[in-house]
Amino acid sequence: MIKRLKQSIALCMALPTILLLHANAQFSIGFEGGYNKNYLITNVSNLVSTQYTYLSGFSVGVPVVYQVADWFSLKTVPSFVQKNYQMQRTGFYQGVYQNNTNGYIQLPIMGQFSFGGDALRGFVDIGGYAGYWLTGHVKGTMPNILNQPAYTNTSSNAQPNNVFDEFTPYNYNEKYTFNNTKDKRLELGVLAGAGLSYQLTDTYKLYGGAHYFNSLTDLQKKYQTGLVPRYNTTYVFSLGILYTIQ
Amino acid sequence: MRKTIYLTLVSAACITACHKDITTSNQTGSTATGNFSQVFEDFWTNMNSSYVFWGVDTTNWDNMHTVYGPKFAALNLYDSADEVTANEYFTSMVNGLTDSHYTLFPDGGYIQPAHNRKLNNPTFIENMFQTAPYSPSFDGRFYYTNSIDSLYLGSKVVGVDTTSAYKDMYAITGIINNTNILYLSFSKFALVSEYQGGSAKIKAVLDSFFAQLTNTAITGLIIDVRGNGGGDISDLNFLVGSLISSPLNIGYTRSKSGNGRLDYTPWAPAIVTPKAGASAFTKPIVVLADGESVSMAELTTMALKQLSNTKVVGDTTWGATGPLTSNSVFNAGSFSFGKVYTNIETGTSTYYGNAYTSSVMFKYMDGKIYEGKGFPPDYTVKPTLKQVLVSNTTVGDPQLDKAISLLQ
Repeated sequence: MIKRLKQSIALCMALPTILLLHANAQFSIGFEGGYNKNYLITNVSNLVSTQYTYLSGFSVGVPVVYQVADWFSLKTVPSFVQKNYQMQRTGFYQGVYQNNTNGYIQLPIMGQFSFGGDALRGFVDIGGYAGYWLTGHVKGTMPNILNQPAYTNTSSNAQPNNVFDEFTPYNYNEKYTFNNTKDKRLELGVLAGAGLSYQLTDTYKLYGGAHYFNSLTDLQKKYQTGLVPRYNTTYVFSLGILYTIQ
Repeated sequence: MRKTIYLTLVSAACITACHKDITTSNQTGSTATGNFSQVFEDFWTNMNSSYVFWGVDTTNWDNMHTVYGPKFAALNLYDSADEVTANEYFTSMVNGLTDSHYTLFPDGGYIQPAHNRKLNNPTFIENMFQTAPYSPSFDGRFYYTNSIDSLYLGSKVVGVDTTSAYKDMYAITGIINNTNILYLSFSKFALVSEYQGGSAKIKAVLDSFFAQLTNTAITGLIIDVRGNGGGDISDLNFLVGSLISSPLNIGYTRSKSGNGRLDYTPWAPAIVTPKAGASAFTKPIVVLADGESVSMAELTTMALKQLSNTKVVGDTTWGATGPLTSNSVFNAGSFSFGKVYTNIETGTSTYYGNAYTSSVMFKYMDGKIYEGKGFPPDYTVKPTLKQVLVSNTTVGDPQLDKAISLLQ
C-alpha cells in the first residue's frame, strides 16, 4: 500500500511539470499560515488511567498553484507543520502528562476543484502528502521514584489521594531524542479540504480553508511483533494569499 | 461541475475513513483464559509493554513468540504434566533477561533467571555452600556475622528483630577493635520502618550509629551491605542522607511511556536528599559489598561511591538496580498474566502467573547501566571457603581486613 502511495505521490509531483506546458495556465505563489489540531490515533486501553488527546499547533507554508482550468488547479504547499499531542493520566494519576511537540516539513500535492463567481469562489482540495518528522520536544510531569522527600522522624499513614502524594513529581522540558530503531520519520498520507477564496485584484487572491491530513503510515518502524500502531491525524485551519505571476 | 464536487466530497469522506481499527493485541487479564495459548499470549504481550529493559536487553522476544507460541498451543492447561512442561518453556524464555530482580511465578513454579545464571558460575558465593553443611542463619546473612562480632567489634550494639514484618532483620554497629573506625551492617533495608515502629533493638543500633557519626574521634566509616538482599527505597535518604549535607545526584531512572518495547519516558534524575540538619561525613568511607548485595544494597553502594571519600571493597554486586513499585504508577513493571478464573460474587480474578520485575531502569552517573552486570568494587577481595564455612571465633574476614587497611 505504501509503495502504491509513493507511486501516486510521485505521479502527482510530476503532473505540475507536465501541465506547465499548458498554454493558458496561470501560475501563482503566495504565503499561508494556520492553526491546527493534531490527534494521535492509537490504542492504550490496556494502560491504567492513560489517554491521548489533541494539542494545538501551527503551520506555515508557501502555496504554489498552477491553474489548469477555471475549475481545476494543481496545488502544493511546502510547509512546516506542528503535529502535537498530549498523553495524560487520569484519576489517581491526574497530573502525569506529556506534551509532544513535533515539527514536520511537509509537501502536499492536491487537486483543487473550484466553483462559484468571479471574485468569491469555493474550493475543494483532494490529494496526498509526504512529511518528514524534523523535530521533537517533550514537556511533562512524571513520578520520580528515586527522588524522595527528605527523611523525617514522623511517619504518615495518610491515605494518598494522588500519585504525587507518594512520589515527587519530575518536571521535564527537553528535546526529543529520535530513536533510529523505533521512530519512522517519513510520513505519507492523504488529505482533503475545503474553503473560500476572494479575488482582491487581478493578481492577488485571499483564501481560507480547513484541511484534514490523515497519515497512512505508522509513526513507528516495525521493530517488534505486535506493535500497536500510531497515526497522526491533523486538522488545519489556514489563511493565505496568492500572487499570480502569469 | 456538481458531479465533480460530489466526487471530491465522496473522496474526502473515504480519506477520513482510511485508518484501520487499532487494537492492542491483548490487554492485561482482560480475557477469560481457557488455554495455554492465551496464557502465553497474555504473558508475551505484557512483557512487551511492562518490561523496562528492552532498550538494553538482547533477548529476541519476537523469536520467543515464534518458537514458543506453537509449543504452548500444544499443551493442555488442565494437565499437570503439561504444566511442568510449560514451566520449562517459561524458564527458557526468560533465561537471558537482563532484569536481575526478575522472578516469574507461573502456576506452581518459581523461575529466577539471574539466580539461575549465577548458580552456573562456580565462583558464585552461594555455590560455596553447596559442598558444605551450610544452612542460612536466622539473621538471613550467609556469613561474616560471628567473626565480626567476636573478632572485630569489642564495643558494639546488636539488634535482631524476629517479629516484625521484616522478621530476621539483623543490625550491628560498633567501633573496630584498636581503631576509631565506625562499622555498620544490617541484613536488609527496612531501616525506616524498624526505626519508626519496629524493633527497639534495631532502633538502638541505628541511634548508636548516628550518634557516632558526629563523634570527632571517628576516623573512618565502614558500611557493610554484603549478603544484603535490599528493601525499601526510603532507606536511601535515611542512611545515605545522614552522610551528606546537600542533594546527591546518583544517576537517572526512566520507565515506559507506552506499549512499545522502546517507548520510554525521559531520564529523571535520581537524587538522595539529606536529612534535615545532617552534616557531610567527610572522613573516608568504605562500603563492603559482594555478589549477594542486591537492589537497595547496590543502590546504596553506588550512591556512597558518588562521594569522593568512598571506596568499595569486596566483589561485584548482584546486578538488580532497577527499583520496583506498582505497575499502574508507570504502566510498567510487575504484572499478572493469564486470567483463568473470576469469582462472580467477589469479582476477584485468579491469574495463571505473576512476573516480578523492575518498574524503572537505573543509569548510574557514569552513564552505565549495571543491571544484569553488577557494580564492581574498587578493590576486589573474594571471600574464602574457609571464611564462609567456619562460623567460629577464629577465622578472619579478608574483605573487612582490606577495608580496615584502607582506613588506617
